[in-house]
Order: sequence, then C-alpha cells, then structure tokens
Amino acid sequence: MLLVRGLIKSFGSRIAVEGVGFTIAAGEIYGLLGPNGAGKTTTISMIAGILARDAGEITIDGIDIDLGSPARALIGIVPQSISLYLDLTGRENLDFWGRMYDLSGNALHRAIDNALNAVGLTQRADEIVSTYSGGMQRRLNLACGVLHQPKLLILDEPTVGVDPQSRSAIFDLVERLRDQGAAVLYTTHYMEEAERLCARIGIIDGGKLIAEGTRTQLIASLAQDTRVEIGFGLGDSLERAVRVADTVEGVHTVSVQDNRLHVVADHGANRLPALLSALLSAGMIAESVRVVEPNLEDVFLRMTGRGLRD
Amino acid sequence: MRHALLVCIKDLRQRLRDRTAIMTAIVAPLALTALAGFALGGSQGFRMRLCIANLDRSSFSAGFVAFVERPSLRGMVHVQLANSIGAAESSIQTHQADCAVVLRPGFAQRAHTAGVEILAARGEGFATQMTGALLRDFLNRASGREDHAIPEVIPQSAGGLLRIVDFFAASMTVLFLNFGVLSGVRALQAEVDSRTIARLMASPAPPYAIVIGKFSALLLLGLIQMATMIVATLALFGTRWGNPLPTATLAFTSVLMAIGLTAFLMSLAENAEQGTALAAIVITLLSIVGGQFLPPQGLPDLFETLTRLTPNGQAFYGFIDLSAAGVHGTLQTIAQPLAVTATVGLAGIALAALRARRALQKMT
Repeated sequence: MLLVRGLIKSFGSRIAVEGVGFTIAAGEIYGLLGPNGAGKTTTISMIAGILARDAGEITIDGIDIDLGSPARALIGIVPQSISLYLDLTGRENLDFWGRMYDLSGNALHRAIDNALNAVGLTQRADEIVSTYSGGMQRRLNLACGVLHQPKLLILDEPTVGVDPQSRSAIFDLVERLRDQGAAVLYTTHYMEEAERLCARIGIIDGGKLIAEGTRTQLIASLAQDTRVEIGFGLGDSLERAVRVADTVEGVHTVSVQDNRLHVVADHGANRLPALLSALLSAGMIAESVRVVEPNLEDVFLRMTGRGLRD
Repeated sequence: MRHALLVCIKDLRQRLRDRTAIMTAIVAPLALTALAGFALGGSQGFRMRLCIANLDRSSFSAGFVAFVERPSLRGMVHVQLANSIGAAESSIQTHQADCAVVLRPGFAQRAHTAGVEILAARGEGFATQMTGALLRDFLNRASGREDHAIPEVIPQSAGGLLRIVDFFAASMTVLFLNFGVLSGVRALQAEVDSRTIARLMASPAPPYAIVIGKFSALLLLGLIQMATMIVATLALFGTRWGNPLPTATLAFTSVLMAIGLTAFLMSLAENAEQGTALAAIVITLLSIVGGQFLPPQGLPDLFETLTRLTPNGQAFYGFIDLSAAGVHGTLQTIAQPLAVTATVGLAGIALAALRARRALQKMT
C-alpha cells in the first residue's frame, strides 16, 4: 500500500532524513520509532504531502504522492498535536474534515455518526470542542483522520497524554481499521504500544532507518546480549565475583547493580553453567539467578544509544 | 474552488461565533464614536443653554434677549428666562442651563457690563466665554462704538463642515478595522500554532484553494465590518461618507492594508499571543501618529503631514477627503490613499506569506 524509497530531505546544511525507505502492506501496522529529532515527523510530513522532499519516491496504492489531491485523498493523518477547531463542535469539526475529503450528503452523515460512535463521543458531539477533556480531544483528533476510511492512516504519537480509557478506545479503532485493510504508519514513544500494535517496526535515528523487522527479529538481533543477574549471600565479595565473571569466555560486560552481579554475555543462558561453575570454583555460591531476555527498549537503546523517551 | 469555499465558510463561522471579535469590530468603534462625538462637541455641533434673568425689565434689556434669540443663533443658543437671581442660580445648579446672565436693574441706563453678572456652571468654560462675547457684542452694537457684524460661516467644501462625530466615525472605523482584522489574522496564526493548517495541507485541497479560502474569509469579514460601520454611523449620527464608489474602493484597499499590516506583524512573532500583543501595540502607535485620536481642527499642518506618512492615516484622511468632497468625490480625489493602502496591504500579505511558509517548514 505504501512504498517509500530513498527519501532525502535537508534544511540548509542539516540533513534531516537520509535515504529512508520502507513499505507497509494493506492491513499492516508499521511502527516508526526514534528519539526526538530523529526525523520521524519530517518523514511523515513528506509521506503526507505536507513537505516537499529533496529526493526519493513515495507511492500510495501505486499513486505517486506528487500527483497531489488523488494521492492525498487516500491518506488519513492524525497529527501529534490536537489539530482541531476548538471553537466548533465535535460534529462541525467532523463535517468540515469530511467535506474536505470530498464526502457529502448521506455518506458524510453516516461517516460522522460512525466515527463519533467509534470514539465514544456521540453524546458530546454537539458541544464545543474546547469543553472536551484532553482524552476526548485526542479521540476526536483520531476520528477526524479516519472519517473518510483512508487506505493509509498516519498516526503521529496519537496517545500522548491520554487516559487509559481513551488509549484503549484509540487502540481498538486502529486495530479495527487494520482489520478492514488499512495500512497504518504509527509513531510512538511508548514501547508497549509498539509491541502490542505493530507487526513490523522501523528504528530511525539521525535521519536514517537503522533497523527494521518484526519484534521477534529485532530482539533476536540482540540475542547475543542476554543479561544474567546473579545474587549472592551477604558474606561474598561482589568485587571478586566481577573479576571471576570477567574471565569467562563469551562475557561482554560485568557490573554490580543493586547488590547483584549483572553479566551481559553471548547467548547468556548458554553461558550460565560455565559462569556458575567459575564462581563456585572461586568459593562463591549463587543464591539467585535470573536470565533477562532483551526487549524492544533494549533494542532501541542498543541501536540509538538513547532511551525512547530521551 | 469547492475546497476554498469550505475553508472560507468554516473561517466565517468561527469568526462570527467569536463575541469578542464582534465587540471589537462593530460595537466598540460605534460606542467610542458616539462617546467621543458627544464629549468633544456633540453630534449636533455647538449648543448652549443660556438662562437670562432680566431684572431690569427695560426695552434695552429685552433687546439683549432678542439679540441672543435671533434666527442666526437658533440651534446654537437655547434661551430660558428666569424671573429672579435665585431662579437663575437654580437653573445652573440643576444643570438646566450651562450659563446664566443676570441683567440687574439699571442695566439700560449704564449700557455697560457693570450692570450684568454671568453665572457660570462648573466645567462650562466655553459657554461662559461665549456668553461674555455675546454680551460685549450686544453692547458694542448698541453704543455704536464697535459695530462689527458677526461673520457668516461659509462651508468651503461640498460635503459641508466636518463635525466632531464625523471625524470620529472615520477614525474609529479605520482604527478598529485593524483590530477587527487582527482577530482574524490571530485565528490564522493560531491555526499554524495548533497545526490544523498542516492537517489542511495534507487534505486533498490544493494549497492555492486553502490560501484563497482563508484570504476570502479575512477580506469578507473586513468588508462586512466596514459596511456595517458606514451604514451604522450614517443611520445613528448622520455621518457623510461621500460618493459610494470611491468610498467602497477605499474601504476595499483599507481592508487589504489592515490584512497586510496585521498579517506581517503577526508573522514576526513566535506565536499567536505574542503576535496579537505586538500588533496591538503597533496599531495603537500608528493610530496615534495617524491622527485617529485627535480632531484635526486647530492642529498644526505638520501634524497632518505626519499622519499621512502612516498607512492608516492615509486611509483615514482618504475617507475625510471623500466626505469633504461630497458628491464631487472621485477616485482621483483619493488617488494617494488608494495607492498607499493597496501597496502596504499587498506587500504585507506577500511578506507574511513568505514567513508563514518558512514557519510551516520549521514545524517539521
């Protein structure tokens, strides 16, 4: 549904996006993760046709974005900010955005009723938006983007600052649209959202797509970096344990955190017998052992050197 | 054009729902015109209520009463008669009269101001001076020593004499046109701030349709405001605006000027709030220099020269010139105001558009 290839954008001498490319199939949610300033919003803006690109190719359902209106009509965008007219009612906002996407008559009224129902705002539809709570505004923000049943839905941090109820309503609607065949491009700072919703994830940093794959594939790329946490009795010297663990083959780093030995090793679970044996030989008996499998947060940290919320 | 129309209608709906904007655009200038007009001379020109206590009761003192009641002063001096000093004092204290003259017994024999007392109301200095002047004139004429005829006032312009209220009708219309348009431009800046403008640009609407829609809404609102002010001041105060065609043309270029000026000022700021404050300060300063707070009568010529250096001063004096020209007013009469306001408007809009484009790029 969406093909992005070799995208480049510079602002003066600063290269904001450099060679970014990915595809999203119909009925797929693709997560684009990256720290602030990584180039996510610039990439999204180019895909949405808001910002001209310096080079690269963007097609939606085979239509070049440069064709303008025909391509943009296939896109629904939900910006990170609340992009609503606060002095109009919820229904008036939906009516306006529906008409801008060429809906009219009964089709428009049906679409408005469906969208209001989907985000749970039917009862408040005729009230001025400035009287809505933050979560309700977020839900209406989403409804305005999906009103015209877009083939490509772009969601830029759609759950920032919302209550759990609104977040759940947003997830449900996004999953329903995916099930109806929409391709979804989703950016978020919340790893659990990416893990729940996204079939594939791209990690962008410094304007480049540095990793891409399913959650399993990305985590597997860090399999050699499994962390093992070992606890000892009070009498044991953690300093000596660090020295011993450091001599075991395949161990990358050893540190002490919260009175526990943290060992990062190639395929850590496989190294565990040799590690425990070496410690035992040195007279130290492990009281507890925990193997921590890497998650997306670890992947992100390893790839970018920063946490997702940095 | 369907998209442009949708954007225009949506913007109009938002603006007309904004009570503060309506207050700023229509109610405030009308109220200030009325207040200033009445406070600084009244909408009907100079008018004095004069109480005369004729205690002399001679034909000479009756002559003074007839003198101030003569047809040429009708409408300017309204005479009330009192039969005692106490009644004259009471008329002043109860604000029934602005000034009172007591013609004491013997006034006819003396034929001099020594037989007369003027009772002045607090704050009616002008009426007091006028009464003194009338009295001196009467005595001069009676004695034949300095019999100067009162010169007749002949309007030198086809539109007649400019009244204070006419001046304020034009000045407040131009001043609040800027503030009225500012509320529309502020809303546009708020759209940039909230990024609804980016959402609009992502819609199937071509960019030119969005620009046309937004500009049309601003222009329409400005023209509605101008038309409402012109009709309202005509109906309420009898303000003469001159020939309709050049007046409408100047109203159009004045709206362009207001859009250009406020849009440019707004584009210099970081956000809508800051832009509104900046624009309000600059508009107020321009209005002071542009002569919109002081009637031009009695001010040095230099002041008018200075006011014409400002775009809103040009618009203001354009309307005044048209009013003065009456039926003889043409586009040629206001060639300079038309050129200046249109140029400032178009230049401001162009500069603001360039800066807005950069701001949109920064958003990403």
